[in-house]
Amino acid sequence: MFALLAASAIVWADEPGNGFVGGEACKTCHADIWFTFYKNPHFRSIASGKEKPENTGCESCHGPAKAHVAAHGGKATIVAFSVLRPEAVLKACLRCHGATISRANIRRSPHTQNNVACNNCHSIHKPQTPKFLLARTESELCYGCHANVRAEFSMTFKHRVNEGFMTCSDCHNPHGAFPSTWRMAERPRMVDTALANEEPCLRCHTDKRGPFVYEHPPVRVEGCEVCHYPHGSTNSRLLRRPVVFTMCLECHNGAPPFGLHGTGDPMLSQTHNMTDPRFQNCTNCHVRIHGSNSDSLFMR
Amino acid sequence: MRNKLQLLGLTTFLLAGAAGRAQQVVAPTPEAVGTPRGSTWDDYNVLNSFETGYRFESVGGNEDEYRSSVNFGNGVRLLGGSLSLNSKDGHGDLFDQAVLSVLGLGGDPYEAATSRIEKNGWYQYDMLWRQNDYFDPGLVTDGASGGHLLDTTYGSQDHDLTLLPGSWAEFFLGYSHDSQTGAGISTAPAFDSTSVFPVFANVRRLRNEYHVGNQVRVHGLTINWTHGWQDFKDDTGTELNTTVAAIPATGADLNGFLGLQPTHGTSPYWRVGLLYDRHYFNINGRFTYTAGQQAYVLDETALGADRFGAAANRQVVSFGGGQRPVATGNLTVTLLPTDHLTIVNATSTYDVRTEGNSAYTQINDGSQTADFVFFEYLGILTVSNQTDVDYRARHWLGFFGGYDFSQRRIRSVEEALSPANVPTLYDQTNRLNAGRFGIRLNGFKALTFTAEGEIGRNSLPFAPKSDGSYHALTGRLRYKLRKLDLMAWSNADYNVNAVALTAYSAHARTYAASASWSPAFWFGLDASYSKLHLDTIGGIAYFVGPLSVQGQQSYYVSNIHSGNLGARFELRKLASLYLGYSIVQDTGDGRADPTSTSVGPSLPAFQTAQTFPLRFQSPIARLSVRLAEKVRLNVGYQYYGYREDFFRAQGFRAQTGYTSLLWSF
Repeated sequence: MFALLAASAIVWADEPGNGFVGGEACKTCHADIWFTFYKNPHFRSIASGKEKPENTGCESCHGPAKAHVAAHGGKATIVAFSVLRPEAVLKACLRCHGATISRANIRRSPHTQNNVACNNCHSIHKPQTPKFLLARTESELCYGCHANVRAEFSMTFKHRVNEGFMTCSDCHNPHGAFPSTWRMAERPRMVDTALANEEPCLRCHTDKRGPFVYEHPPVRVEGCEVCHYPHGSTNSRLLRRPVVFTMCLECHNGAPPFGLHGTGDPMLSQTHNMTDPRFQNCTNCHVRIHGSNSDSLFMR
Repeated sequence: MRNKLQLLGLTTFLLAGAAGRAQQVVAPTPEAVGTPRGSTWDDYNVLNSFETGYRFESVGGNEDEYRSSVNFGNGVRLLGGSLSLNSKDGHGDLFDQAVLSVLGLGGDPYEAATSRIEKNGWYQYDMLWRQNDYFDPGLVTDGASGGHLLDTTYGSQDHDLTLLPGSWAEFFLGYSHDSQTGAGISTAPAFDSTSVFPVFANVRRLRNEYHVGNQVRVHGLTINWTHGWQDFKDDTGTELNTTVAAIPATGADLNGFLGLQPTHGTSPYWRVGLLYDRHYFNINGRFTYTAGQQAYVLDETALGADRFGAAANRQVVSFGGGQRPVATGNLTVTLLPTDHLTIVNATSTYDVRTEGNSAYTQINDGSQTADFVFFEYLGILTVSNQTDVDYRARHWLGFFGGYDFSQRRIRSVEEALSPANVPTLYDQTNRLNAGRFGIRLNGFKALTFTAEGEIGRNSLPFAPKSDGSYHALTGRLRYKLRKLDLMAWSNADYNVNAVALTAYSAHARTYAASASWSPAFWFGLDASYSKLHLDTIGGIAYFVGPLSVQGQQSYYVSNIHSGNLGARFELRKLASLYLGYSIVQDTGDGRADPTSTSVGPSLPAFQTAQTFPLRFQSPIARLSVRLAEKVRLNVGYQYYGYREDFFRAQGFRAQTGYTSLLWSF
């Protein structure tokens, strides 16, 4: 019942000037929020003094409060986000926050499809972080639903998210991302892109970006994930296999139609005697495996 | 009102505690100190707290492994800190809000600082600075020694200034800087195809990026453009002034080596975003063009003896460059015909052309050879279209689905070894059709359930490990109350690539469950468990001596169990105690020793690579005592234990901890 009433109240923006009483009326009962609201980025709508009533302070989000005041409170007489359905929350927030390119894909994002609305992660009145008004630290928020990702960041080798050095949004856009341009654009989703719609890995690992005279094609075509786990791994350098040569051999088996030529990724030459330890660590010789300017075999 | 203020303080305190429940490192202390109301300075409210202390560590076992996975050291640290100033009326003289937070300053391997300063409607400045001590011992996890090492410092900083934020016309200025400097050991081939030598490397990499931009909002249309320049240079050089033997020993020696390969590049780019949002529809797009290029020179001199003991020297000179223009486009149309239905269609294109030229000269003793490579080309053109439909039939029932189509064309030119050779052009086109469907249930207020399936067919996967014929099933169940949050999640992702000569298949199954329970302000419990199963099998071909071995399969299995447990106790607001434990254990495929199975190739090297059981565990304890209203004393201890079942020499045991004062003033 609350949800239905609150959802119907979300249409206040279509009726400007109807039932707005101003934020001063709110502080009578909601003093705890009112007296610290100047720390909130939304306070600027009050500070400017130029916004219309439907865009000012408390009523810009919670709608006209006349009926709420007259009823001495109650969630049925005002837009209470705690009882709003996710789509109504999204609609309310996008009134102001919709005109941002970084949130352009929020309606089609997996979060929206899975009923994760703005107030699942953001706390407007009790934020833990002054920037972005997050309800908890970013990694905690993400781990709350993605326990498998938490497990990956607990592994021996990982990007330093738990240490506070990195955050999930360094690589992901939780509001939905444009389709990726590596692999076949279908997966992964919600991964933000770097300079030229590239993988976000290249923001920091710029030496892998190239362009190289000799690209290692899977890096450019399939992306870093073809060899690495981006979150964490039990293998050093976040590799998908504990031993390098097995990872290389699984592609370089000469079986068509794989590879650039369609004739299979090149097999090892006859000099590579796999009983000899020197050939079991491929990158000992192929040091520039991500791409080389001077050697088509990535040896310098 | 006083009660409500107390409630606010208590809630903040609890939330701070909650933030620490799954804290994986012992410091900094997540507990809050001081009053959340802060103090008044001029017309600003000031809130700050800084934690200073001593961090200690003691490591037994393989310290290289410790440094590459944990890496905390000894010394005095500014473990964490935060400062915020807020104008009380939103009309400060120079700024209305200033926020600064720092982490690990003074020697921690992970140091960071972030700040924001803004004046409403005039400007907003954001800064992020990070520095990471990156150590890579070149480990090869089967216990063999690797040839590479990196002991470097990686630093990055981003500065972004927005003028007239929130107005119809905003302007952006930005600068980013990354660097990686330090020592390394690399490897260099010399004299013949089988001799590889360790050489010292002086790592010096630098990236600068500058950008300007503007965003205009007119009649509901948002236009955002950015023009930027990214410059990159890698002046890493390799050098050797002493005699070393080849690795592994072949009889060849390297007496002196100098390898310089400066590489400098620049990538000017344009990025334009469009957004038009109305009640019933939304159109947005993003278009980029990046004109990247990179030039290099290689000058390499090697002096020594070949594997037969004869004096040898060699000089290699190579120079050239690569260009990579990239054009991308995204256009998304969203229709919302009713409150129950959302239809989204997204089209994207990606066009990259990597071109390069290189002149290569190699001079050997007694003979001279010269090879030239005049042209290399790799072009990728991907066009994809995705349609998503989200239908909310009832408030408790929803359906969503989608269809993806992608077409990728890859063209390449290779092997133009001399001007007389005609380069060979390779051309291939790959198409992917994928569909998704899901259902969403909100049967009860606290219970949500989502199930989703995806199936895809790829006409010409690029590599055996690429998505070929795949399907994925995902389910999520969540029960969330104010004090209790239970979640279960399951995912199965199967991929098969089978062709005439070989087959590759990967089965990944992940199960995860978590629980968070805060029955009272003085107690909170947080637990999670995940099992990540992966088994892959893929065809391989290799040589044993001169004999070609084909038709065999590489086999890999991991069964990783991961658990986290944390309990927080508050003792009359005077002290808080946190106890936690995390463990990651790969049980492998259950074998007792690395070569005790007969699956796959019989060579020991292949057998030992099939599974990799290990255990990594870390119990943690932290006590935080309130000494005064604005001062807390903290002590903490965290143990890290790492053990590889088959290669014990790489294990370590580390005792780490800290003691600190958390001070608000």
